[in-house]
Amino acid sequence: MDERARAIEELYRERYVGFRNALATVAGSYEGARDAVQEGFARALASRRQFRGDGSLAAWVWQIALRAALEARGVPEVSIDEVLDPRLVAPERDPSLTAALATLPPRRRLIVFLRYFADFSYADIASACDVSEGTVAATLAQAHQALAETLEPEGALQ
Amino acid sequence: MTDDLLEQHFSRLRNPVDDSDWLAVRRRARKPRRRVALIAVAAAAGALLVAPAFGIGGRVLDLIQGKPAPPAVQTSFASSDAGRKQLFAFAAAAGQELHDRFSPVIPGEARGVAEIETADGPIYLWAAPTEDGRQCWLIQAGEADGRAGGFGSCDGIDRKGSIRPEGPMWTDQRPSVLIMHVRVYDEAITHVDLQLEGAAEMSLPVVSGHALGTIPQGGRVRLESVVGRNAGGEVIERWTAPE
Repeated sequence: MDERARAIEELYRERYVGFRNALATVAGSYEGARDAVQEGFARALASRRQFRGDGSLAAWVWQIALRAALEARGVPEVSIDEVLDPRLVAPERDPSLTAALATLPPRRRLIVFLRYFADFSYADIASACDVSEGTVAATLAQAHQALAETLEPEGALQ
Repeated sequence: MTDDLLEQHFSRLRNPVDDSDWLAVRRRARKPRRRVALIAVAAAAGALLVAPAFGIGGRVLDLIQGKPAPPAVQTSFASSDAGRKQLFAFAAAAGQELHDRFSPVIPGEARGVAEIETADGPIYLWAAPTEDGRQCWLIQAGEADGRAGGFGSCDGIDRKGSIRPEGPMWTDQRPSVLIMHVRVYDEAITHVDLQLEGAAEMSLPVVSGHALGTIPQGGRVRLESVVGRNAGGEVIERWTAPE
């Protein structure tokens, strides 16, 4: 096994759960997310020579897995922004958070999910979403504010 | 802080179950993919566009289409030729008379014939003319710069027939695919139909005297026959595997 294949395996073993949980917001279920993660890593492994290394490996694999999740939903190859609508898998478990997330545009929601489900760094999110780190920081700050305004008046958590 | 607030909320929603399966990922990675198959067909179809040059005649060099081979591939052709010459020199020095069936290759004139994208990476077919107008070829399953291994052969001066399956049915095994290669000598043959035991029949275009394709790995596969057809679908020649 070559060095790049080993790096992909290491990424999988360390980050599988985070990838699955974050992708579940796109796939709509953990079963669908699991399949998308498996497919995403399989595609990444098969085409690892195409990874140019100008972004993080995690972000590259995430984009492949995200595409696999959208394909599984029958989404044609269009701009991801046009079809992406990530949501919590079990919204009833946290109505306050669900309501707060609903105030965010889909792209911001995905950035939040990548941060808090997949434990992506700002740099990884920037690479995965094809934006600058500054944009990630600003988006997360806005998301934080929106969530705080939604949550704190309700006294969800003090 | 807001970060703590968010973290508290998300920590309750994370599914901690680890149902990962790396071996399943590896198995899935080895399966041929639809996209790969489409690329292969597209590559073959694109290559077919240059096939009419096969019928123009003239030097073999004129029949080999595509980009010039990289230096490493040219070196590989040259090395094989040097090794053959050395073998016959040793034999002559030892008083043995060996019949050299091959003509010297012209490495600097090597050209690309076909490229197929597979789950294992690209497969390239390079061909170089020989001094007597025949060809040598190299199938390279790996990096395009020639660092990875390849395999090939040359036309012998005593060859017979218009169809010559190499291998006898595949010339190398890759993790995901078997490589099929048929050398064709009749310029009227534009494509070949391969009958396979253990796999579906396949049809491959002939480019510069070569038909190259892949089939998915899995189970025992045996080549039963190769039928060479012209552009109208008429059978020009049939090769049948010996019993």
